[in-house]
Amino acid sequence: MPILLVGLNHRSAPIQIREQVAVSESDLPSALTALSLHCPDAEILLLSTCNRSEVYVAAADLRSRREGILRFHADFFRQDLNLLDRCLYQYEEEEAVNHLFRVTAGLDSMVVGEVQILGQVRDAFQAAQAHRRLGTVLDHLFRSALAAGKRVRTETGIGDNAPSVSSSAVDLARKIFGHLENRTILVIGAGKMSHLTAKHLIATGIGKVIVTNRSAEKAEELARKYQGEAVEFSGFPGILRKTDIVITSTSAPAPILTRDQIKQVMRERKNSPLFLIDLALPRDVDPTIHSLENVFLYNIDDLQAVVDESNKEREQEIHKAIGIVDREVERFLRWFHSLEAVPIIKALRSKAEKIREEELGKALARLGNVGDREKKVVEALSAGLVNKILHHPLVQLREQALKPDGKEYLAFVQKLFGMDLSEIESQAQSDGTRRAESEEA
Amino acid sequence: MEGISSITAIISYGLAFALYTTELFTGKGRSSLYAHALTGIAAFFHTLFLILWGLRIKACPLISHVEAIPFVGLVVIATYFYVLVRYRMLGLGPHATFLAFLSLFLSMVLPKATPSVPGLASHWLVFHIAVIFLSYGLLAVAFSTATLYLVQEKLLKEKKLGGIFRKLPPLEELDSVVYRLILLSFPLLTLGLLTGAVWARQEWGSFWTWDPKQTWSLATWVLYTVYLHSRVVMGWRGRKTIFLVLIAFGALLFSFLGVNLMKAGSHQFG
Repeated sequence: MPILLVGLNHRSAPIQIREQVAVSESDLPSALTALSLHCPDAEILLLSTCNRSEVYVAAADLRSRREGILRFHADFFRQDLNLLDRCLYQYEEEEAVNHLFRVTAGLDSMVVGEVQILGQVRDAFQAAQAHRRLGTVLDHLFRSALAAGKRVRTETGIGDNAPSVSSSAVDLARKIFGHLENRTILVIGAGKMSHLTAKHLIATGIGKVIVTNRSAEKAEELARKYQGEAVEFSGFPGILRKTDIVITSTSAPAPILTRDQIKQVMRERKNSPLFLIDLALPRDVDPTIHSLENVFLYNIDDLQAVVDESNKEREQEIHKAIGIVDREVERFLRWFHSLEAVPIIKALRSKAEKIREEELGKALARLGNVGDREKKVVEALSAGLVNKILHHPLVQLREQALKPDGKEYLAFVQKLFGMDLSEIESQAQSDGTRRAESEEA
Repeated sequence: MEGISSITAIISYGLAFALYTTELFTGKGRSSLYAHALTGIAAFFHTLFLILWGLRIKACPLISHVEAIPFVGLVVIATYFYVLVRYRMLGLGPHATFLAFLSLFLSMVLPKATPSVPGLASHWLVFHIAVIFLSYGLLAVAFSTATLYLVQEKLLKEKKLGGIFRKLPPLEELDSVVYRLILLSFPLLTLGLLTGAVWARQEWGSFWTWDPKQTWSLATWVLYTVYLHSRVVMGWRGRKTIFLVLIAFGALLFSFLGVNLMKAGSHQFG
């Protein structure tokens, strides 16, 4: 089976080498042209992203292709072959198919589940199409890979962002408040994590930002950054009446928010929900506050637990994705294996035979009471017609199947005569059993 | 034909319920879409059933409790779809389909009412019952949403933020929907109470007889009023208001079903 893949990725090559063989979108056509010079009479495709650089080739004989690809790399990128050779991996046939499907689904990326790769593969495919060196095999291969990638994206959650402490805090805020547009957030202290979280929240469209800090200038500076308001540290418990989300991480050795304070605040808020995110160590907020009605206090451990839980689920989703990819690879391979001349010829013959028998039956029925001689004449007519019409096409089929673009031909014939996979496969199977029987004999 | 409609509806509701429940507890399937479709189909046959029934007895099928129950079930489903579309409120599927299923099931199992007691065909009565049961359907969904609120709140408090937590809507949105449904149903409830009194005057000569049904209906109305007052006028939020919703619904159930089981008072008509 004539599919070959030679390439390198973020695991096999360091960035210094990867950047040497990267091809930008605008350079792709000339790269493809150079590649085709070193790989004549073959289907070619070049996939180049920040994570990987891979060359896909489909040709009748693969023996000399690897050298061709290496020479292309040496020439086009002016690279030391020895250096490259150590980083390059090679896959053939089923392994190549498997690899491509996984790559397109995002399973081979640095950030597993990333969705950018789908678009990148699509771009590489379109560039190769425009270059007109794509044939049946690579065309169908990449279409199937893209379809599988799309399935993985819609049917699993691997495309969801990997969770972090700050993203979990944002998700939680949304789960408590729903829309955040009319909500107010208070950021206490200048801890890095709390500001990362605040930025996250602001990005999702929080209504108002209030900042407070022991140092008034720091507070002003941050308030300006967030286009919010700064308040005095001494007066800040009062401001809690109007804030819905509080993120705190000061270096205070003892809690700066006590139970009594919050109890009072909740009375003033008429029990409107309050979400406290305590990212400080030692903690800034008295932990018993969590038991107050409609107060939700989460510290850094709690958020990390949320992250761990999400990661567990991602594992499951990746598992699901692999399952989908495996099934799609199988489907592609079935199609590919059907591109064999003998089963197709047999399937074509049996299809024609079926039609002949049907029409013969109808004709005989219409003729009604007819003598044996007449029946034999009609039968001979139908058989002669079918055989003569099919003779030349089948001879051609057998010949063309052996040529470099043979698979192309076979695929076309499949389409032309409307043959489906099951017809061809049953022929291949019966072929196999018959061969086994004759070998035993 | 009636029987077939009813049975089709019941089976569809049952299947939808199963799908909604499994989707709530397991992965990221698309089974909720199938569940929505099944619920829609069930609702169609449910409506058909009520129409055919009405045509058969040549009257509006709202006179006796046995006939009223499936009507309430249909209102529940209609409210469910409204809330689903307008507020994207997921998670109510199991409740809604269960209530609708129950409503049809009960109507098949409970003994049917004897044909109209004379004097019960008054327009006031039909209007009273229709309005009351419309509000009951809305309040049933409000109750379901309130229970979801309590579930979410508990999960948040216990910091168990797994699958179910993620599938259910945000806390504040649940609270908001509870409020809106009760607000929406309140004029209907009030109107129902008033028209009931008018009809009582017509039938028994006095607006208020303090029979158990009227008393409990009034209690229900008062409880919902207290809820609205504390939510709107006083601005309160949180678990206490939700508990009020649960208690109020308890009173509603009692006035709807419990009183009849006691078989006392002038509200009895089979």
